[in-house]
Amino acid sequence: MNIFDSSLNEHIRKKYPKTEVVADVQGKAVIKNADYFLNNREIIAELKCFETEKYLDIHNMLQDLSNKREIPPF
Amino acid sequence: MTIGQVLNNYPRAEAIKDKILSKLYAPIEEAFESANRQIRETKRFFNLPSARGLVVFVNRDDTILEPKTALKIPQFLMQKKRNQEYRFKQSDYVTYVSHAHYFEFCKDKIMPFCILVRNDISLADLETLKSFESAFEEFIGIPGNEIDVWKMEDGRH
Repeated sequence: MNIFDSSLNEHIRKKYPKTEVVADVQGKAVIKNADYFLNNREIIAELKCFETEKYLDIHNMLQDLSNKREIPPF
Repeated sequence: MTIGQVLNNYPRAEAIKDKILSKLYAPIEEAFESANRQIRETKRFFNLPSARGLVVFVNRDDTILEPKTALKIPQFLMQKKRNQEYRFKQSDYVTYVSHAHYFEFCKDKIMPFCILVRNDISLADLETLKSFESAFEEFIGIPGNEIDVWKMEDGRH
């Protein structure tokens, strides 16, 4: 668990009593669990974060194509 | 200069655009599939067969992944069927929050926040998701926009 997830969990525990952090209630069970129960377990929520900037990947891909003269210089 | 302008009039432009999009889409697709599995396991373990599943995508730092682009994959996957059943049937709702992008409104920064709904959403669930949005707003410290609900069944929003 990264810092963002653990800080968000802490925030939710303190301020949103109708929301449960699943890890808090699953005991020692080893399951690939989701992250939260909302509204008395009416909704199960899983959080997915995108943290990696793709700009460089795309730029490198275009640069490579440009070096091979498949696209014009940019 | 945009990527479209760089590629303009080049014979392989479409193939290159597809390659770029697949690089952007692959992590979203993987995350969606994994979230669907996790929701299914949690439902099973806690015996909550009627609970609805929500996948929350949070874009923390990927500026190139604009909200409209990012939402195309879950829109597609939510409607995908296998043997006449939804392929990812655990994921009833998807929300997308980005703090890599924001609108400016009256000098305020507003964070994009929207909900994709496969079929329909009850008022109670909508209120729950709004409350969850508030949790994010408080946590991140940026207000979100008025929630935009997109229904997948007929493309309305």
